[in-house]
Amino acid sequence: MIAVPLDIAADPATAGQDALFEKVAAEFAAPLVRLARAHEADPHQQQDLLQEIHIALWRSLAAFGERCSLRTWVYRVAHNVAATHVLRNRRRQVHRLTTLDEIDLAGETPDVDAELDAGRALQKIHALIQALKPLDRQVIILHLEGLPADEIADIVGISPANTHTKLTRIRQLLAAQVGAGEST
Amino acid sequence: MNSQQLWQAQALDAPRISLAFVRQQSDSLRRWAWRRNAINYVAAVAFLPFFVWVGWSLFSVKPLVSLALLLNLPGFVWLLVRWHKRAASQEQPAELGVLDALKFHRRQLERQRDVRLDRWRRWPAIPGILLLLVARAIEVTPTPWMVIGRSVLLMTLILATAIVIEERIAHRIQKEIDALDSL
Repeated sequence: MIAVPLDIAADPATAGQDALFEKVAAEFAAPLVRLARAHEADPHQQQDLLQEIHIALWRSLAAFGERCSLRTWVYRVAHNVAATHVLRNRRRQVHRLTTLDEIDLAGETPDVDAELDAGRALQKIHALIQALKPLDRQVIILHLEGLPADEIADIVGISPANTHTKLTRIRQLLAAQVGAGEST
Repeated sequence: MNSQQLWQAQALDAPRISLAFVRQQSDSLRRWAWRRNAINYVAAVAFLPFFVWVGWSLFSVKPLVSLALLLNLPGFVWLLVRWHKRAASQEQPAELGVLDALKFHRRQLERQRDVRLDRWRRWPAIPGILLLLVARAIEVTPTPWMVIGRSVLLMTLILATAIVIEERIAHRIQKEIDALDSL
């Protein structure tokens, strides 16, 4: 837990929001850390982004009226914060961001050892994610989190057809980068 | 193990973020934004009673000067309201999809750019300033031509500097928009 300088007493007005936040923080702790890690290589920046996401989530939960599932809501808010974070910090990015279509699939040689070396495979996935433009980046992260295409389309705000096209490309890229074991 | 399983099996060592911390951060961010807005608006509005007081106290001696000062008031209020409407930052709705969030961010940048490129927004201040110069020429004897000349020069300089600064800011914002479009 992060140390808190002030002890803020529980506010009855935000009790429901607080309870929901506790649920979200516990249930989505791992995906949110993975999201922050996917966007930022630096641990301090990861922590800043993670805090930013949690603050946005707590605020947003006041307006959560079960118009969609809690999972969709959490991912939507978290990915919005992450996308804005990428924009704000793009001056730090020395490399040019690319789209899924710009990555040369033919140039990717399947690494036969990658399946055995999880660390190296993960490194490759992270490198692929960090090279992508925000939208494609969100789609690949949500795919890796195991979300279905329709929910990804809903979170990102693109059409289901476009999402399917992107997912096909993502599966091909992951198969080429990570090697065997990737379902296409 | 496929990439999804690999991804979800990552070792996680990040500390959990507590509710108390989030609430404290959220409160301090809100207080900071409120304080910044309050300072901006109070600083701007503080001029109004000063103008009224000077205008009122000069009314019996130099009615035209006082009229010119009072004429500046609506122009000044107009500028404040217009700036507030067109340039004040808007909070992004939480429920937007990622694509819409990026579009929202772009629209915010466009608003900030356009308000700075709108040179004519200052026109309501011009009649009051001109009348002030004319009033000094008519009501002050002997006519302080040097002072009037210096005032004209100073006002032109201030206006030109403001335009140059704002165009630079607009140019910087445009670069941000271009960078956003390239993403």
